[in-house]
Amino acid sequence: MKIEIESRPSYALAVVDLDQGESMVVESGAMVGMSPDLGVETTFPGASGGALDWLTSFFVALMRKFLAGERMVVNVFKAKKGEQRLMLAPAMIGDLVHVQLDGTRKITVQAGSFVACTPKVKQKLVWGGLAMLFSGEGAFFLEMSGQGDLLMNSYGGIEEVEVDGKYVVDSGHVAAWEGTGLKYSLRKAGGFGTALMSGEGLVLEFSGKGKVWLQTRNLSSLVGWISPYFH
Amino acid sequence: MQIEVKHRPAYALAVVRLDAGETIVGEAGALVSRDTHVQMETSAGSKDQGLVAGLFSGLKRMVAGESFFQNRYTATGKAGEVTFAPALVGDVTVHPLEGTMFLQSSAFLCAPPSVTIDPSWGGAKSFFSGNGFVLVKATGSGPIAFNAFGAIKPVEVDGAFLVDTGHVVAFEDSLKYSVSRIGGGWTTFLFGGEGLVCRFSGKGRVWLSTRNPSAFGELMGPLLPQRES
Repeated sequence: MKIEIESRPSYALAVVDLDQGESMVVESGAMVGMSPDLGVETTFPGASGGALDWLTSFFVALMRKFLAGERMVVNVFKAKKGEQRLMLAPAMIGDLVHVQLDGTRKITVQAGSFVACTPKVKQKLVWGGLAMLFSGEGAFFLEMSGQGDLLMNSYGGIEEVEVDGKYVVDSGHVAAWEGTGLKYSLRKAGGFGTALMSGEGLVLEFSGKGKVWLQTRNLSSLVGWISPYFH
Repeated sequence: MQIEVKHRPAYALAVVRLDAGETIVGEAGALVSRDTHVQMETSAGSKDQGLVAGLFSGLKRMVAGESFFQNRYTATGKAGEVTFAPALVGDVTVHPLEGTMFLQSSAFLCAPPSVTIDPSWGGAKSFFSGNGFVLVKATGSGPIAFNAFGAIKPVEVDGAFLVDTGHVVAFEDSLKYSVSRIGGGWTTFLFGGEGLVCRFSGKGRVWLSTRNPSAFGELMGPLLPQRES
């Protein structure tokens, strides 16, 4: 499998070349173009085998759909022949990042930032807390582990930051983070007065050693800016 | 005539350099700037058409999702420059047309009068297939500039290739096309969120856009306040 990303950072497109038998788990709606000999199957994120597994995935998907308004299903594209090409892009304008997981890495992604992964990458849903639900940034995180390729997207460009110690990021600008020793807590940007006047809402405070991927734009700010003109 | 595209792909601008006496036809509302001796003339049809035929051309364009009026810019006396930009953020591509190609409606930006733009009635099946997949047919000889939301990526098809209908910008008429479900079962059709795809076969070029304006709209829509009625 070969993955290349073009048209960065505003309108990134992932061009994935698959050999026979290889497959890709893709966020619903992200397929732009594809070779004719790719099979498509629609399933729930994380549903990999048995009936119990399927049922669990179904309820988790339902929860994500109704609590957070997120997409419920993924499409699995599988190459029935060699030399198949799959082009992927998110609905949002912005960049794409390709990360390789080697079995030891564990990356936590904002649920809205997931675009695609190979089938041996495991997804676990992490509840971000009620505060995140009301922040409008998405109430869930996805903990990605296992082995394979992961594609995630951002609104704006993506900035990689190495964290050693403490680091604070606006909750709307976090795309993903990684590091076994990296902990986070969600809190208000400052006191009551600060929250009212600074224009800053919730922040994620990271502590420990690891890496954070920031998105250089924030969806809530875009919505806040457009809304007054929308009548 | 020369068309150069600057500021790709996010904020593309088509810079057209006309020789003395040359004319370019631009989509209504797309003009950014022009030399004062590049004169503008607004009409529904082309110059040599009668009034009724002109009105009919305008109506046909409207049905296909383009503007009723088109603007003609002519460099009078000496060479001149005129620049065009689409309304949406995104890319512009120029193709040296010899023959026929198809464009997604609203993709047309500018071309000389030697290129005619007509709704593609042969594409009636796609007209009714939903997802706003309406095509116009460009025929003739000359450089044609078209635009899309996102970046425009050319794909050389040899055999077959499938493109989501929301991402098709243009394609050469050497390709056959049909609109269908993506494949997979009914679960994919009903819940897969992939809508319809355009299946191209044969040999030729397809231009696709890396973003889908409807998908972006559907993502933003629910986040915006309700319209006052």
